[in-house]
Amino acid sequence: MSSPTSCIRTLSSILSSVPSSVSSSSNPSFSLLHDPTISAEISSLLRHPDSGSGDNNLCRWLYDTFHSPDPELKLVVLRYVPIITGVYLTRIALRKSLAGFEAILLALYAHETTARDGQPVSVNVPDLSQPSIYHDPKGPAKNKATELNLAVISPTLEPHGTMRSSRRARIVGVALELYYTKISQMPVSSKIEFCEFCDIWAASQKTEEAKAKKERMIPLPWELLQPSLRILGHCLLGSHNSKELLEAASSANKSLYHRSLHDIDAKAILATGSLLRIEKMASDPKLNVDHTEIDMSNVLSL
Amino acid sequence: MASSAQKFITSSFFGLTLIVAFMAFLLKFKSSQKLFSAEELSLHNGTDESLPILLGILGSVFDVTKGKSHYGVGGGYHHFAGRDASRAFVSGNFTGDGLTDSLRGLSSTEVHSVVGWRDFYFKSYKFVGKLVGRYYDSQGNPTKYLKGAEAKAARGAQLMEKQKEMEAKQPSCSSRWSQDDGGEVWCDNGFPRLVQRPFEIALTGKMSRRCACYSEDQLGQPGLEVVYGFLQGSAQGRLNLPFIMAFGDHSISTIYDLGFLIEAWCTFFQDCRSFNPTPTKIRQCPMQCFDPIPTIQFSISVSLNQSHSIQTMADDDSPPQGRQFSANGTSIPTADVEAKLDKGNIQEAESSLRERLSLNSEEARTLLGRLEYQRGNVESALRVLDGIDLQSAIQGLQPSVMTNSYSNSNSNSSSLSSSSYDNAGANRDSQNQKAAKLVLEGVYLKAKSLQKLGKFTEAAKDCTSVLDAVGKIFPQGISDAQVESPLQETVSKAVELLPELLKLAGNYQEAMATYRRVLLNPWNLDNECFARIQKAFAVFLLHSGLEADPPSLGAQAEGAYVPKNNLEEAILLLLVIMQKIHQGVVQWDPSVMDHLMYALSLCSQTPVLSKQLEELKPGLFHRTERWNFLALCCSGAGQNKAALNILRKSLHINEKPNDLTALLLAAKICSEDPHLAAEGVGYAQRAVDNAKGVDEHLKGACLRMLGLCLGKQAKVSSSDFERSQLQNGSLKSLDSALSLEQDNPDIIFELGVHYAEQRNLNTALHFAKKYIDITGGSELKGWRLLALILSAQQRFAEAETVTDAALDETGKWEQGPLLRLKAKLKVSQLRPMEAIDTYRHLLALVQAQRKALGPMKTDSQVDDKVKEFEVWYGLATLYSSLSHWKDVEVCVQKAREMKQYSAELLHTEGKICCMHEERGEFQEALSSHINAGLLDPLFVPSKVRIGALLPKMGSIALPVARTVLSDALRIEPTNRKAWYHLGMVHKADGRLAEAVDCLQAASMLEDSDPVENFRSIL
Repeated sequence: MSSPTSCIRTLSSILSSVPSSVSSSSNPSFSLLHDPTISAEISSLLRHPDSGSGDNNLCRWLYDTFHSPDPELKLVVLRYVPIITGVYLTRIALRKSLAGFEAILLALYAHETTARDGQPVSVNVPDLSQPSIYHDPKGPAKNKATELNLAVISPTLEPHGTMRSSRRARIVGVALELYYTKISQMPVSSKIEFCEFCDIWAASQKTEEAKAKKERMIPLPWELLQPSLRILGHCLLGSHNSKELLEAASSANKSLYHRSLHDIDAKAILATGSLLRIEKMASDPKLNVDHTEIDMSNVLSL
Repeated sequence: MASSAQKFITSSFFGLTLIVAFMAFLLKFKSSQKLFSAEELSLHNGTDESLPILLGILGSVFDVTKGKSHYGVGGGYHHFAGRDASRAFVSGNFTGDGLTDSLRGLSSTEVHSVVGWRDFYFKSYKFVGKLVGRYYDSQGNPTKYLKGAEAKAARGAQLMEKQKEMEAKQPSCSSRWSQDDGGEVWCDNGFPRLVQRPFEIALTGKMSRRCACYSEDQLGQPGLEVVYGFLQGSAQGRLNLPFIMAFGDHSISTIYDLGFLIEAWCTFFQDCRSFNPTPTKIRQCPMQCFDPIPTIQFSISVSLNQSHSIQTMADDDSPPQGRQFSANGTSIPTADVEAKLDKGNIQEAESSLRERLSLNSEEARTLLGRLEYQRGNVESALRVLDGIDLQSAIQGLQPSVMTNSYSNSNSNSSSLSSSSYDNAGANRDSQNQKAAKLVLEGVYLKAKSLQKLGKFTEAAKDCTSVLDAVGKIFPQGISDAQVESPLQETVSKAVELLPELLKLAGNYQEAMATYRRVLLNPWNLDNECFARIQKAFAVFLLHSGLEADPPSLGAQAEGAYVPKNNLEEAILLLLVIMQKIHQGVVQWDPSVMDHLMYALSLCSQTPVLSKQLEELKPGLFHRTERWNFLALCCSGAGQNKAALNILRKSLHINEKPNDLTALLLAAKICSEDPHLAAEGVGYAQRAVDNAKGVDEHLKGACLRMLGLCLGKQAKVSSSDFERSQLQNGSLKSLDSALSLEQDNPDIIFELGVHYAEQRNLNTALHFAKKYIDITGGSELKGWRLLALILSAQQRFAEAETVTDAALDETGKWEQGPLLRLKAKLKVSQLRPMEAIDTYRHLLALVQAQRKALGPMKTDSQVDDKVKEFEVWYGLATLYSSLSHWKDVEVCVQKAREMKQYSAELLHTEGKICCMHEERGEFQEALSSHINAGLLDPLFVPSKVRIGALLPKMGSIALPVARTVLSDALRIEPTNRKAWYHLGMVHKADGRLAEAVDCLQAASMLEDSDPVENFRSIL
């Protein structure tokens, strides 16, 4: 399982077929990550009603693949984080065995815990009275030490060997944080899947269709919502030009905005609301003048 | 070096050299003080390309060649070129008589404004001499007109200052304007009224009013007028924001200049009735908006699209209908050249152009390239531009400037030869700039063409070469003095375009590096352009998802703050832009605020956001919008009281009383405090009434809040009847909320607690189980509720099993409340030794927690933590039930170390005393309990004990006991002991029927008492 080739060999026993373009590729990990046939089939297997149990072959494969030393192969597993977390959270209330999904999520959590040495991730919010590389305050500099607001954006990670239900949101949230750190390498289809699940989790305005599918609101505590909103920000405003992703992200953000209004979650209202307004402004041609355009006046002079 | 200088001094030419240098100096001085005649000045109006463009104002003459695109032929300010049109700067009349230097009849503020314009030109352009005429005599000395104008301006300034001072005593109204909504004014404190301005007649020769805020008791003052009509009047005008419009001599300022705006509206209002929308004129807004010119220029074209009734200055010039080439004083239409290009005859087109406009090949190619680009023929543009050897042209530009700058840095022992070299160098510098501008524009045009063709990598390469070339030509960086504005324009555009191209090309790492290179090095960009790049970079850092290294430490000045990751860098940049907005250096851009809002809310730093919102000038947001944002910020930081205070303002009947978000937030905050609950009921009810249409989906949330507020209000209700009514209402609301949202875990939980408190234990059990199912057991409070309900049903063993299951699902640090519960369950099952074990376990956990968790821990469960005090107190209670008095005292002492004044402890002490009653400590016991009651008036157990102890003092104390016990029952209607003792009091007093009722209640409750109060979960 340590090499891409053996990894693909095992996968071929799980999927109906592995295209030769992948198995004979010069960069098999990359092909595995980006091949649309494979990802479509894996995605549909993960969405199968019986997926995610402890003895599920595909979960086993994802778990093993994530433990291979090849970082490229780890990316292949991360590509499915949206579906795994998405399906997992929507099935919690069904009281089914989800040990397969849980094993993968715990592996991601453990990976991140080791990578960070359990330390929290924090961000400084500077006080502009002190100079920075981007500005120099006018007037005499205050002598006192720079006052920084230290914001913890991801708290300390404790090791978790099992999925304790009260830590579930945190463990899934950390898996999403890990996904976010690699998001620039993720295929668009994976991000679209994430946006679609955000829509489902939020279940803000239930359509008849959603009711028929018995989709229900998933509790969205901040530890889950915060990494989701970062991913969503990327999907909406990151440098990509996929219209489909943009639409999916826009719809997901609208749903999450309605959901945060419903939950009266102040921080979430501020975050999703600002994305909503930015999106609206971005589509207004009056506000998006190209300042790099050359002079278009009728008199062409030197 | 030194030896050659020595040689110079000793040479026989030394004296001569000195004299010539001195003369050169004199000449130079003289030339900068040149006296112009009106005829001479008129030659410098931009039509002759070889002459600099000059402009006169109050007799001072300035070289405005660097603003050629505006002052030159076809530019928006061409009227000012080659003449002194001082009056037009304030009158806005740019035709015939209007273009005069006479200021006759202008008010002192207007004259002040003209002088202000002159200061602007001194700051921004080169002063080259004086115009002989009205303001300077033939000797170049100021005339009485100039002195008079300056004195009048000074008087105007003085009066304005005085007016400002007087008016500062009465705060101006806040105001805002939008094209869609028209204008409005308001007061944050007090009421808006129109009032006559004291010095206005002296200043402007006319009456005018302003809008100021008056408190209620000032409203009786004479001369105040209500503002309503004014608002409607102003909404009819068409005002485009970056301009002032002129109606006669009245002007309307920009939204950015708020003090002025109110004044402007008042003037506007007066003229509005007679306002005829056609003969309008626009002139540029006050100086601060004038610079940088390109931005304003651009805004004109936007406003033209928005509103047709307004003519811009550019229209006055009646621009040529078709495209034209213009160079060396000749203009020709582009039509026949276009025809040649359409046939693919580039050579022919070029030679035709060269011939007719006497251009060299590069010049002609650049013009052709621009033409093709403008016509959208980017491929053809590229073919044309490929004909210029740009790279070699750039190379040819470098060395001479290098030597030039070297010679400039020489010492001032400059000789004749050096001085003449300087002149030649300056000449060549200008030549070079002209050539450089042409070449760089060509390369930039190529980059833009490639961009249009989607060839981003190649485009980025060309763009990079523009900037590299600038770097080589100006090794010391570029500054205002060195670079002429057209060249600067190309440089600015290239700087802004390059990172965009790199992003489009997918070269993110390079884009990141370029952004930093651009922002950390001086490119002499104007403020708006710089802020745009900063914003684009911040957005890129926030959303690219790229793991980039933080900026290197080498780039920074000593002691400056260096962000250490993408998010930090983005927040820093956005804050820096916001600061520039606050300082008025750059224009307000709402998207900057939104990006900051996103970033800071993700970091849970909403107080920083509040600060930014508070610093914003009023009018940028609608006030209620701003209040609501502020309330969300406060609430996001847990400052609910502050949030509620703000919401009360925005929900005021005169503001936006039906804003659903604000109503819900206010109701939520109120639902958490029994004393605010009644107010919350009002908000929630309004929310329910307004949850219609697009907000229908919030109906469930609104009903839920109504239910919660009613339930909370019931808690403090003093009448039984009212309480039961409120409780019924609460239940009804929660039920309707549930029917709308059958899977909403919150509602299910709240109904569970509601039923549990009503001792409807079977229904409560159903909801508690459903809650655990639906949340997958992720919520601690669900487990606790279930265990407590089971304990109330006297199913202690099951309750303990539930608690154990919950412990399995819970991380170590969150186990405190469960362990406490477990210990109490052990006590109830009469297994005190196991209870003591559990308490020990809990104690170890609590103490470890205290040590291990630094201030960094921001866990959501933090508030749920069991305090060490509670453990000692629990142990004390346990020991006292075992009559281990020694241990009790140890525990009480430990507990007192944690919390010196505590009702609970006094209560326990009271109990200790009670056990020693025989030893005559009855009084002490009582006083302990009374003290406990004083410390915490809502502490029920002490009240019950007092009620139990008092009857022992004889029948005289019975009424007091009865009152105390009734009070206890008001706070906690389901307190079994209180009912029991009240029954005993009634019995002792001989009221047997009442006694029976009470005792019956006590016995019924005996079977439904949970080990901890249900309220402890919430």
